Amino acid sequence: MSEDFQAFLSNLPQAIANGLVRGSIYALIALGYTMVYGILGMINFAHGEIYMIGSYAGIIAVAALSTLGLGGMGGPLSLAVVLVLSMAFAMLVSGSIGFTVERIAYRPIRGAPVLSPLISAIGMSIFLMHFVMVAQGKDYKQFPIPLHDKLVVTVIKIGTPSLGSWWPEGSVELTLLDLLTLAAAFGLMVGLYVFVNKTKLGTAMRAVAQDKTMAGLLGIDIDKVISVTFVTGAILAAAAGVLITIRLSQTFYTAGYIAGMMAFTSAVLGGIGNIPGAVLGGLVLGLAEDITSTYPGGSDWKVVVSFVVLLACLMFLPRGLLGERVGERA
Amino acid sequence: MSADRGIRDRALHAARLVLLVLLVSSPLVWLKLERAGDETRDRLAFNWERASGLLHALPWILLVLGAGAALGFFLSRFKGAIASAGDRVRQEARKLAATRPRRAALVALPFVLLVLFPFLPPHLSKESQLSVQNYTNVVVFITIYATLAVGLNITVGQAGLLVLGYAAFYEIGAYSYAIIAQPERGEHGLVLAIPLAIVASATLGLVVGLPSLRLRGDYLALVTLGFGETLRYVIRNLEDLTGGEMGLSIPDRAKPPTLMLSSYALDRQLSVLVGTSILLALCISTTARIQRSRVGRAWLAIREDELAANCMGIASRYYKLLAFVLSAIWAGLAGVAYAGQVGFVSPKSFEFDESILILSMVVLGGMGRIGGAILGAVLLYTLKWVLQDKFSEYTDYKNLVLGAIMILLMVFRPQGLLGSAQLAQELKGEEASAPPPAAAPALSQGAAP
Repeated sequence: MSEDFQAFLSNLPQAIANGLVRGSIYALIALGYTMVYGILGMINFAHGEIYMIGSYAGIIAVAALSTLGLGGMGGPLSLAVVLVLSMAFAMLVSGSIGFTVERIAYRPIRGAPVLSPLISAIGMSIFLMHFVMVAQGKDYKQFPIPLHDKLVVTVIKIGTPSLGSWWPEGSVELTLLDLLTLAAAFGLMVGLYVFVNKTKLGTAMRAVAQDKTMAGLLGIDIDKVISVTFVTGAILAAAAGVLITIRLSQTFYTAGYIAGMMAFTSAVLGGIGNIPGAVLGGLVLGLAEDITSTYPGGSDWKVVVSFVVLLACLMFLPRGLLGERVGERA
Repeated sequence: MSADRGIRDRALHAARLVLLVLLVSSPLVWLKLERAGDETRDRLAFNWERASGLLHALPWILLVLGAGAALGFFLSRFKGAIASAGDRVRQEARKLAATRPRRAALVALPFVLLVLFPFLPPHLSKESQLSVQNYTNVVVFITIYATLAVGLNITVGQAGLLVLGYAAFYEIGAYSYAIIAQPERGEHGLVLAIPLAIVASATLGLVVGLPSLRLRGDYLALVTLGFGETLRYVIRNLEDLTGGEMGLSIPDRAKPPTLMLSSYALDRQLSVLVGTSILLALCISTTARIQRSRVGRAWLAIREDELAANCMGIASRYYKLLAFVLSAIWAGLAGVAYAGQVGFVSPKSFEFDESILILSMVVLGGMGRIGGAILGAVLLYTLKWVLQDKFSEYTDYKNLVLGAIMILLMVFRPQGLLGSAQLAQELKGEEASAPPPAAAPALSQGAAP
């Protein structure tokens, strides 16, 4: 066994842990793609930008609280309250932008064949990305509270000698922040599941996804349902944006491009239009990416690996892992 | 009365949307993160500079809005007169361009003038030489981008296959030239670079096209985008061959040959301009001929309805592959021209922005129209150049404008500037949603080219 491979094996458990966290973030974004695709049959290219705007809004909210002296360093509000407030603000901003995007760029051309909404969506993605660049500047934005000092305190160490003597020594470090991210992501996903399957609006959503005309005839307000879909997807993306900004402690105006591509790949991998599929796809892709970058020299190639996964999936498995509803598109 | 009502409703609707946009964008527009000298973390502040800037711009904004409203009123008031004047102009134009050679000459004339201009002044002062050089540079890039736009128009416009990663083909052409021009590989020049670029880009076209044959619409767009991105990372990571992030420069000996055209410093640029103009002319004439041939008709049929085209006996897989390969070859040749003009290639010059710029050119001019692609290239490259060189503080707004153009065109004029009414109908999907009056179907079938 070569030394490279030994090192790879010893880092593998940590890579799996990181991959799960990364994958849960991808899954949150992927849900927005998959829900919109399920209802409108189009890829909302601007979704990655909505996620990026969420990360900016989260930073703005935290900075506002600490500028007003309410939270952050030494204010009266506790850290948890500050984070919840910032996430709520990010969801508000991203949700309203998601709503507006649909009204401006997609609703007027809803009946058109696939090329027009697609070009409109790409235009919207470029517009939003550069809108943020012009409005907020071209530099990296730091998260205003240095959370790494506060949340890394709890480190969970898991040794792996139990796997047998041929497996090299290694350990897994899961920070409290990782656990929080996982908990928040899965909490939101469960919330979405309940919303889609147990509420009246969720039922209307599924009805519109199945047959728009019929749902309209039965008195469902299709415009409203589509708006709700966009807003829900945007809210999940905003949550992902805030979570990742806390983890990386910074954001950037092009953050939505690669993350959006990855999330889209996850959605396709799981079977586009399929909500559990998006979660599964996100986890698989996150794992693939982190395991690749663990291999020595692999981090240069991790984006390539993800694209190869996307291409292979579209070509050989166009229905995805769990998908059912692709039909004539692929 | 009812028309007025309609206008008022539409104005209200537009005003509501504008208000929504202003409201929604306000947190990002008016709040900014800033850092005082001794602090380590950003604080939030109101963006006073932007507010005062807007206040200063307010008279201009009002002026533009007022002019727009006046224009709208004028147009709606004199609709009939304008339409009949337009008809007369169109008739005259048709008379003037009665035969095909005359029509071609008319279309080519402004372009030939544009290209010939740098050759006109034979002896100039240093300063004006510089400005002519600058101008020549712009014209060279316009010809390169026009070639790219016409090439992309083959897949996007004529065959209806949305290719998002077009810059990949452009990149591989530029790199094939730069790689064989390196000293350790014998400093080969254009003689070897052109065939190599054709082979390389055509191969890449096949590689992208073959697996994409089963895909349509948005999936196809993503696969081509994925290929483009992957190629960029591969080129960046293969440092031994491509110089990685640093790029490759082309040594003088391998640069395009200089024609002895004039005695001053413009010589090399003018030779490149001759080369790119020949390339563009070749591209236009070939593409126009193919569009009118059996192949072009097959593409049109596939664009309209692939299933029906297959049923009519069109081998759609073959024709789609052909579209991919042809379009890739033009991009590869444009890449060679780019490398010859700039003398340096790096992955930074072929990012996603580049694909978007070329796509916007095709969309703006009118998908499927060669003249449209060229018009789009002239307009958008000029926009890019003006924003970069003349108003450099507004360079950042370039992509903002491109994105807005794409959205507005798709909502209000999907056929682009030069597109036909038929294309508009196709892109708006009116046939599907509202059946036209009884006489219309026969007419539209008769009018189909």
